[in-house]
Amino acid sequence: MRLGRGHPARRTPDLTPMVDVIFLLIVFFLAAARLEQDRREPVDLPQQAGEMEQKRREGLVLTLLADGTLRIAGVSRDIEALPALLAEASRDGMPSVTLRANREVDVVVIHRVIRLLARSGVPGVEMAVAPGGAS
Amino acid sequence: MNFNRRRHESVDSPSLSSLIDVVFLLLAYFVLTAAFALPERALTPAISVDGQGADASAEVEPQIVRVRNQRGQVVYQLGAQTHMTLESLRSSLRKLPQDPGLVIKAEAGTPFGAGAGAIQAGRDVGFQDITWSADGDES
Repeated sequence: MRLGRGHPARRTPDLTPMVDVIFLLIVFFLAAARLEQDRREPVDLPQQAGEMEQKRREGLVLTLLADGTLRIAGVSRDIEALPALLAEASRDGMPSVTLRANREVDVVVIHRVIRLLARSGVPGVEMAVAPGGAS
Repeated sequence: MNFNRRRHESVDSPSLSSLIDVVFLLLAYFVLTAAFALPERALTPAISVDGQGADASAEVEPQIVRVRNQRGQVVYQLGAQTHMTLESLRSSLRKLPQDPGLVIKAEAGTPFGAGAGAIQAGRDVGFQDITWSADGDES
């Protein structure tokens, strides 16, 4: 009798849960990266077609809310602090500046921002617009 | 009778459950991100401050569009002409030479959206050189 020579018991581990977990992690990191990229404050932008796709995650993004509050990276800032922020951000060259302003905000506020930007050497700004309305 | 053969076939066939899991997760991911990523575009005017950014050596005077608030309504003034709508402004801008460029001056009391509309009108008719001129008065 050769009892030990039959088919050996299959000891290969089941990889299904591991594959599941790996793909879940991939999807999680993809989604997290994408959400980070799209973490823009909701602003009722001017409804215009625009001239170019907006660059993302580049340069300084200034958000002006309807009440004239300036927010940078989710933090409320004093408009008069812009030159200092620009000086800090421009150590490696002048950053591109994107202005995401509520369409109803008075241009007096826009002018305050533009004055400070122009005097800090910023040649132009990207003014965000929404082809389809609010974003 | 050979039972072994059938038993091996069933053991070796790959499980599709994880594949289906992944396909549905990817589907959900793309559906969600497509819904969140609302399109956003940009207008790219140059900026200047009244009386400080003008090039004195320029041989041609830039054409100026003034955005004003006239009795509660936004109007666009181009020289002596006053336009009530952006379409009317576009029609006038089409007749102008584009070399001198276009300057947008929005007055206090007008919304930013109206100024952005004037920039868009200039771009729509082909102006490459558009400048947003901020009021130099600090008050």
